[in-house]
Amino acid sequence: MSSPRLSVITKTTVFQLVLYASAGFVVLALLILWGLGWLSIQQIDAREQARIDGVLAAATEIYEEQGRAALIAEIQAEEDRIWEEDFIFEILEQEEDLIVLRNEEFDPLAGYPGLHTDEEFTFVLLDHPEIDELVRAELIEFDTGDTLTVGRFVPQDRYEVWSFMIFASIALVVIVMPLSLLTGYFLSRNVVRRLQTISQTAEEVGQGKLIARAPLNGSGDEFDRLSMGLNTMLDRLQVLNRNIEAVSIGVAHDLKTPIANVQGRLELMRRDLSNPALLEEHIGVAETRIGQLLRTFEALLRLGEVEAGKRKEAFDAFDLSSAAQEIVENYEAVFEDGDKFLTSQIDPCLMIQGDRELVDQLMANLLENALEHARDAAQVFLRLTSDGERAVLTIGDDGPGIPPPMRARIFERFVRGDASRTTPGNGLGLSLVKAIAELHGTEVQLLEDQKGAVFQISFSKIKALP
Amino acid sequence: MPGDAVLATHEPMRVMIIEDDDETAYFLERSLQEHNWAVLRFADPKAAMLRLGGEAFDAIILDRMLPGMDGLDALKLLRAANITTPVIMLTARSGIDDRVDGLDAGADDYLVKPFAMSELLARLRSLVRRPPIVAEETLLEVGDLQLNRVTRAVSRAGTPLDLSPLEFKLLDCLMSNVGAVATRTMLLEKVWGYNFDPKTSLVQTHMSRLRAKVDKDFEHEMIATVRGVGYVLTAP
Repeated sequence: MSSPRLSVITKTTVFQLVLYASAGFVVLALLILWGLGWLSIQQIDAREQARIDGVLAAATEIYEEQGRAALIAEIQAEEDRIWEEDFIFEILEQEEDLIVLRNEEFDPLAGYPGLHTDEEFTFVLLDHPEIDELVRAELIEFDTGDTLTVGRFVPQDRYEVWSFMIFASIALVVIVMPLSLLTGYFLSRNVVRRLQTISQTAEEVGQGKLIARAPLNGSGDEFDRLSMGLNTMLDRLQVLNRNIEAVSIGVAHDLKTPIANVQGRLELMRRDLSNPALLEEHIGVAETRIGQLLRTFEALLRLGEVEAGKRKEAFDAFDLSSAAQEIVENYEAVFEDGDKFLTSQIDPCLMIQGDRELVDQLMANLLENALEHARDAAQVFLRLTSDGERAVLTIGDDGPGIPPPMRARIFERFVRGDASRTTPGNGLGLSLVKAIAELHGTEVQLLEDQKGAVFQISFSKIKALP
Repeated sequence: MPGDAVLATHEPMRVMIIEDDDETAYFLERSLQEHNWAVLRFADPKAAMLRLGGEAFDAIILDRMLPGMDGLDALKLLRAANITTPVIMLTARSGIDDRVDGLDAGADDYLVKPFAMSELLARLRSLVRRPPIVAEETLLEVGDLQLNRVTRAVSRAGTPLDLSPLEFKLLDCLMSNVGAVATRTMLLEKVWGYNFDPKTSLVQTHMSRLRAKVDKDFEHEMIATVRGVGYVLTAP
């Protein structure tokens, strides 16, 4: 099994589905990721804002109630009113607040003078030689003209959230997309392979190799089911084809022979024109042969019609018991005249679904078969019994039976018993019986270990109408 | 052929043949004329139908496969134009449903080619002489033979006859067709309802039993075999 081409694989539904699904997944994941990230950052910002507001509020309280000096005292770090640059590193590390108090002329009174902002709420850079982390700052102005600026370094977790989001997004795209492409590729390659075996079988059949069948891999999955369906269809095709072949063979012999006979007699007629008696004989024989030929044709046509299955549309429920009873009444007299005996044993009111006319013909053909082939004074019987869900029809005689080598072939077209080679008949009677049985969803069996030829067909019963 | 004598004394019966195959038409015309039918043949169904509009015929023989028109459609047109002449349809098609289709379209009988001329003649005669009333009568009488369809009682010259259901149906068929020959195929269709031809002598067997009961003790044999054709019931 050669590896399917890439272009074939990428065109498959499976591959494209996998691609679209992955793309959709990635987009969805990104949306969720960024959504959650944004929420986190909002939370962090809110927290920081609250902290700054808190410090501002506390400082304002001190300034207004206790005066400027008290606030300065609060702000100063140990002895220094003005914070040293080194102190800022501590603030940064411990995530403490930055404060600066300025007077009207913007001279720093206490705190860290490198903290500038003139807007309400911004990110600023400190005026610090070594630190370049961003600071969130806010400024308020007192009535006296003093201004207080409070700032906080952007917390580490805010950066962490950001970098996580970026990292995850990249990972998602970089890892998931190739993975999905690979998955898509392998999945669809598998599908293409399974389908290729099936289409290969179809191609072989198309080129005339009717015996080809799609292989199953035993898993019973949808491809196996498709293969099984295809194989069943091919089996039927093969049977129909075989029938056509058989007909050609039968035609060659059983149809051309009588035609040749008639042609021969016509020639003889021309020669015997002056002999009315011989002429009569030739005409008689020719008429008989033509009659046989016609019956064979009609039987073949009927057989074809039944095998094609169209009659199934006209199926209806009917009483098999009464049909059997009628056939027996019809044929009892005929059997008597032929020095044979017909007995019957029929369970009443067995209903089946089917074509009554065809089933009549089936029974008639089997009885006529017995009439022709059974021994003199034979006991021929027709039995119709109920066996659970089935109505079992058995028609048979008590001798001499069918010789073993013939048994497999009696249902084939144009096969006749040796003894009947010269009697009228075309070897299609049992073929028609078989075809009618199969049309009704069952089969005709030649029973083993019987004294004579015994045929059995079991039909599915249907519920009798009340 | 029984029945010929009856017809010969009257004006010949008129039959129209609508058949495009010249060979078949030749065969039909010759045989029908020999049996005292006046034949008019058309190869084109439209011309035939025009003629039927103006003239009455006793019977029509219509082929199913016609040039330019399905015989069934021609028949439906005929019936739609209120032409009630009895029609026998001829066809090579012997499918199981074909006969039903033909009869449904308005044919009175349906014959599959090839057929014996005697078969066609017998059926024609049966069609033409069939008085429509017979289908509904309860009591059939031919000579001293009586058959009651309701009570199923059959008697000859007052003596009751004990017939099986099949024999009753056979006799009913013969009596409804009195004077005209009923062929084996006609009986298979009417009495058994079979559209297939069994190999053995189903009809012959039951007919001989019927004849034994009807004719044995009487001087005049009412049921006669017409060799190669069928059976006929005649009044004494």
